[in-house]
Amino acid sequence: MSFFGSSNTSSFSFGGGTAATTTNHNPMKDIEVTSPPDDSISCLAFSPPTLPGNFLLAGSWANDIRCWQIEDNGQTVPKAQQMHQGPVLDVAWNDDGKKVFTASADKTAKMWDLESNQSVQIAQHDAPVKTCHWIKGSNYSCLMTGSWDKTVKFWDTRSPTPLKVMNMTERVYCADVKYPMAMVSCADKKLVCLKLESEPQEYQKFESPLKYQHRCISIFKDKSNTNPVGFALGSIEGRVAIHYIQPSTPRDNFTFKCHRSTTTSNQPQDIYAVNAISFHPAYGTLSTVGSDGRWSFWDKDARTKLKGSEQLDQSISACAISHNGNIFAYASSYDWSKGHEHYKAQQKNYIFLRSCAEEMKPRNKK
Amino acid sequence: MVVCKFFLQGKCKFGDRCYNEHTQPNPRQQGSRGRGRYDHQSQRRPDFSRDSPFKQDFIQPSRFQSQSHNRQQGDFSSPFSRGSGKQQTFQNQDKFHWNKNNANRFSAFQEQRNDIETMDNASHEQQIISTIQEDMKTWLQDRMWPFSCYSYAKETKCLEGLPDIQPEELRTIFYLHGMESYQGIIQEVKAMYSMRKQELASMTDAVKSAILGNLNSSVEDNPSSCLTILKMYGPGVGFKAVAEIGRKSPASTTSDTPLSNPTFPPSQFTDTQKLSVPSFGTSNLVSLPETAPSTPPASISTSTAAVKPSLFKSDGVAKEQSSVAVTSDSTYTDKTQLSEAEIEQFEAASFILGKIPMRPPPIEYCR
Repeated sequence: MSFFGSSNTSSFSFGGGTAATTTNHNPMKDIEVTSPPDDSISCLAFSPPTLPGNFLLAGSWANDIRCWQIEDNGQTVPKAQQMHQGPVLDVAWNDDGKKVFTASADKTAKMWDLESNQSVQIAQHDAPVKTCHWIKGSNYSCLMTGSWDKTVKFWDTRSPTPLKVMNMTERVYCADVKYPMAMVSCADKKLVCLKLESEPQEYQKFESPLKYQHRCISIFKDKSNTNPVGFALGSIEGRVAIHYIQPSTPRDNFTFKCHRSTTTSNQPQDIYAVNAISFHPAYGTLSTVGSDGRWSFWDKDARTKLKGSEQLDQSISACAISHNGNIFAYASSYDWSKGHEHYKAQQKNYIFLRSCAEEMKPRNKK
Repeated sequence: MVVCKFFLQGKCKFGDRCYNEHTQPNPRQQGSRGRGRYDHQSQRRPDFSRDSPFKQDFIQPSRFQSQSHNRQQGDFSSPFSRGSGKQQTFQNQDKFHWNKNNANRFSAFQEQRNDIETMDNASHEQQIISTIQEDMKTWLQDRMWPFSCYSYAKETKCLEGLPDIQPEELRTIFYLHGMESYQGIIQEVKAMYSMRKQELASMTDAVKSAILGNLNSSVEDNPSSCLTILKMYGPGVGFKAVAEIGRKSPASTTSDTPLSNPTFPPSQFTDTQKLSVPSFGTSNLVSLPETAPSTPPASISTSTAAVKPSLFKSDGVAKEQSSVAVTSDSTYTDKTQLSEAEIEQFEAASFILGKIPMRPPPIEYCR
């Protein structure tokens, strides 16, 4: 049974087309992280600036969260690991870098105290928790969890009942937080913006700038890098929308196509999902990774592509950029974009690190 | 943005490639600053030489301005293309027929829905219908994720009948319920989606009027409300129980479940370096006391052979019974446990969207 395509075609190989595609698992010759997880990596997160050095967290479908220390010479040292009852779907650091939050398909979110290496459950939902983000506000701090049970809940880590529950019209698919703004995107392309100043509340609902399912969202800040002003939204259709909350002209908002195969006149274009978007903390340029097994860097203000990678032999399921903007991490593992037929449990998963400070510099406007 | 004065006269020879704005003559506020130029090949030079016979008469003032230019509609070699809804191309004023020039090397990046807003209602609707048909035909053939909602243009309502399912949801169901159950679900989901897409691609009159009627109504779109996917991973279904049975992954060559097989060798965890950060210490598998609401030990993998799990609601309540039952006790809810609103829904002739009970009906209603 083929998962995709018409009933006439047989199942096709990943990578598209009959032309020989690269089978290299690391065509960009980036640094491989040692001891990667055994199953697909769902999320990556770098430690915040409050923690000296760089630590990388990866949550995977093997129910574990692993932590490595990334040294300046590029060496990766596995540090610690925690387990959940079910696959880990999202991971977040708190602001001081001492605690890690993990959201899992076992309907809970846990707080992992790195010093004591103990983890405690702090959140409970009725369905898998898809997103977790730490909010550090001026007068409160909490964990925001979004779940497929159509709610977003805010948790004080000390209490088993949530501080606040927001009901969404649909299952939460992706979210991002940059204080004082949070964006939540749900199924059926619902987009909600929350403001977090004194307490989280709904600020505005947006019409989706995309035609298909939303896959990932990331908030960006203004030129001075102080206030969040908009978000980048990736879809399954190989398209990213850049949307400003309050655009000065309607032309500020635009969409661009990415992660598509090159067009030939006769064949339809292969379209791949954008799995994750990360913004560079200083430059405001963004990186996207897709199901086609490529990553790309973009400058949204100059509206150009800065760099694109070669094709990996697996899709890239997650990406992250370190707090100082020097390291770009991306995870090569199967993202289920072609169903269970293409899932190979024994296929190795990789996390690659790349030095991106030069490549992500914005283009100078001429 | 500078409004094109030739366009206002009806004489712009660049058509939709023009750098200036082709809009109705309303005063428009200028962009806060010019957009950046594009580093890829300069489009202007080849155009310039081609148009040189007209140079004397129709010099585009924007070409010689030193400030950076504002972007035009989808005409650049960068993959960015305009998505703004205010894009308008006035085909009837395009006396050089630029729009029909298929040799335009930027045509791959042009938005094709620029002119929806300019047309009158009938052609507007026709445009929508043909867009939907085109998109459905391509979608049925290509390899994009098939289980997604869809709308014919940005900032418009989703079409009915195409709910949204994320790959992670299907994967969770696969990990929770095993191959057999998952395959049954996938068959059903695939069939449902492709049926709907075929319907939209062929676009009979009934379908057409249903779509247009729906688009014009102000009822908020909620195509995913027909899904009962929450039953597959929601309350009553848990990983803990499955882990006791053992993860059912078809291609796994090892018999270890991930929970019991850490591949982080413990020796790598001894912290040999001095860090100013308190070290994390050695790893250990922490099995936490489960404080979640206790899930009854699920005979999920065995019960799925008996009942056919389904993601979609059907007309009656019969499907409620066939959804994955955790234990035989919860196939029917006791009438005394149901709330009034739920009883009302079960007794009504049909469910009201948004009020459909999450629990199966009592056995009394099912006979």
